[in-house]
Amino acid sequence: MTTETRIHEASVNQTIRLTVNGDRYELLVLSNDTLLNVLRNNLQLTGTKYGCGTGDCCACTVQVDGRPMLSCLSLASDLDGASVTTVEGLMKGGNLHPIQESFVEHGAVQCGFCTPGMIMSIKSLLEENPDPSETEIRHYLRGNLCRCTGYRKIVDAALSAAKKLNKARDQ
Amino acid sequence: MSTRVLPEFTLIVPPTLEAAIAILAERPEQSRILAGGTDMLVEMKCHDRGSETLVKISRLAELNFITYESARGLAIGALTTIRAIADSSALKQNYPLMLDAARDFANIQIMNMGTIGGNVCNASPAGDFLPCLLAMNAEVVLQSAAEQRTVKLSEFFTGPRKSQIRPGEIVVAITAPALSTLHSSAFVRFTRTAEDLAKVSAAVVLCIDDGKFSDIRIALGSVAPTPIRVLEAEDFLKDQAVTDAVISKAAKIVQSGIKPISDLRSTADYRTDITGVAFKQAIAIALARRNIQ
Repeated sequence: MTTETRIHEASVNQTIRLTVNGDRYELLVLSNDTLLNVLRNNLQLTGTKYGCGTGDCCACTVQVDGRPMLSCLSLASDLDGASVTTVEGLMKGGNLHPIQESFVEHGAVQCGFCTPGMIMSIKSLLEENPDPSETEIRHYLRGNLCRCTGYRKIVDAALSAAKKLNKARDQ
Repeated sequence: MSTRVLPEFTLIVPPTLEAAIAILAERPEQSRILAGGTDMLVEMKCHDRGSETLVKISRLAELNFITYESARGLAIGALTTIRAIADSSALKQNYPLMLDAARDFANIQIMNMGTIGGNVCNASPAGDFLPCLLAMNAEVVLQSAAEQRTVKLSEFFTGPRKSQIRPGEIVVAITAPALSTLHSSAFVRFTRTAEDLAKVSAAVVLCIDDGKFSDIRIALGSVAPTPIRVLEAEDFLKDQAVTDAVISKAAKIVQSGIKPISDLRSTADYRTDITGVAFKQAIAIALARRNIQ
C-alpha cells in the first residue's frame, strides 16, 4: 500500500491497476464505478451478472484476492492492485472447469442468470472446504438466489464437482 | 433510483488511521466513513445520496485484529470482518455467542466484506452483533484528532441508526471484559429467510453457581428502536435456581418489557410471542454449552 492519501475527485477518471483472470490491466475509472460495471462495461466480461445491486442475490459474485465478494458493492477505485477472478477465468485450454462440467452434467442451469455467481461461490467453497456436506453447501450458498428455484441440481453439481476435484488432486 | 449505478462522490483513501483522522478533522461535517460498504453503498444507491466525501478505511490493517487476554479481556478492531469473527478461535472459546451471530450472518460474500465496526456504527435495531455485545458489557472506543474516548455500548445507541458518534470521530475498537471459565453464552435469531434481517434476536451471557444464576445478562434485537438490555428479567433471575418454572417466568418478564413494531417481517404480537421463544432457546443453548465445557 502507498503511504500517501489517495484523493479521487468525483467525475474525474483515475488509473487503477487490476489483474483480472490473470491478465493485467490499467483502467480509467470514476470514484463511483462499481467493480461489476467495470468488468461488464470496460472489459466486456459480461459473465458476471447484475441482479439486485443491493447485496441480496449474489449473482454478481466474483473472487477478489481469492475470496468471494459482491462486485455490485465493491468500488473499483478502491481495488488498485487487486486480483479478480470471474467466471470467464475458469476455462483452461478450451476445457470447462470441473464445476462447470458438473453443472452441465446435472442440468443445474435453467435460465442461467444465477449460474456465474453460483459457480464462483462453489469455487470458493471447494477451495476452503474440499469435501463439504450437503448442509455445508446449502449454508455457503445461502445468499445465491436462483429464481427458477433449481437448487437441488445445483447442490448435486457442487457435490459432484467436489468429487471430481478431489479425484484429480489424488492422481 | 437505480441500484446499477452509484451517485457521485469524492473518495479519499488514507493509508493510515492517523491520516484518516486528520482528514476527518479538516472536514468533519462533510465526510462519511466507508468501511465494508455493504450497508452504506446500498443506502446511497437506494436513496441517491451522492456528492459527499467518503473516507474509505477498510484496508487499514491497524484496525483489523482480535485480541483476548484473561486479564484485559477482549478487543476487536473496528475493521475486523464478520468472516474473521466466524473463524476466530479466541471468540469461539470465550464468547461463543459471537460465532452464533457470525456463522449465519447475511451471506458469505457480505461476511467477507462487512465489518464489526460497520455493524456497530450502523446502529440498526436489527444488527446481529449488537445484542451479543450488549450482553458482553462491551464498550466502543472512539478516536478523534483531539481525544480518544470510550462509550458504554448500553449508552451508545440513541435511536434507529443513531449513535453517540460525533463528527470527526472514528470507531477504532470494541472491547469487552473477560468472562470467568464458568460463564457461558448464546445468541439466537429468527428470520424469514436465511439471509434476511432478524425478526427478533436474543443474546444471553450467564454464570451458574451452586445451581443458581450468579450472573445473567439478556439483550434483544429488533424489538425496540435500539438493541436493548432487559434489566427487569436479569434482576428477577439473579440468585434464582435454574428451573424450567423460573426460566418461563423470566420469559414472561422479557416479553412484557418490550414494545416491538409491526412491519413487513412480522406483527408486533408475533414478535412478542417469539421473543419469549428466542430467549428460552438462548438460555437452553448457553446452559448446554456450560455442561460441555
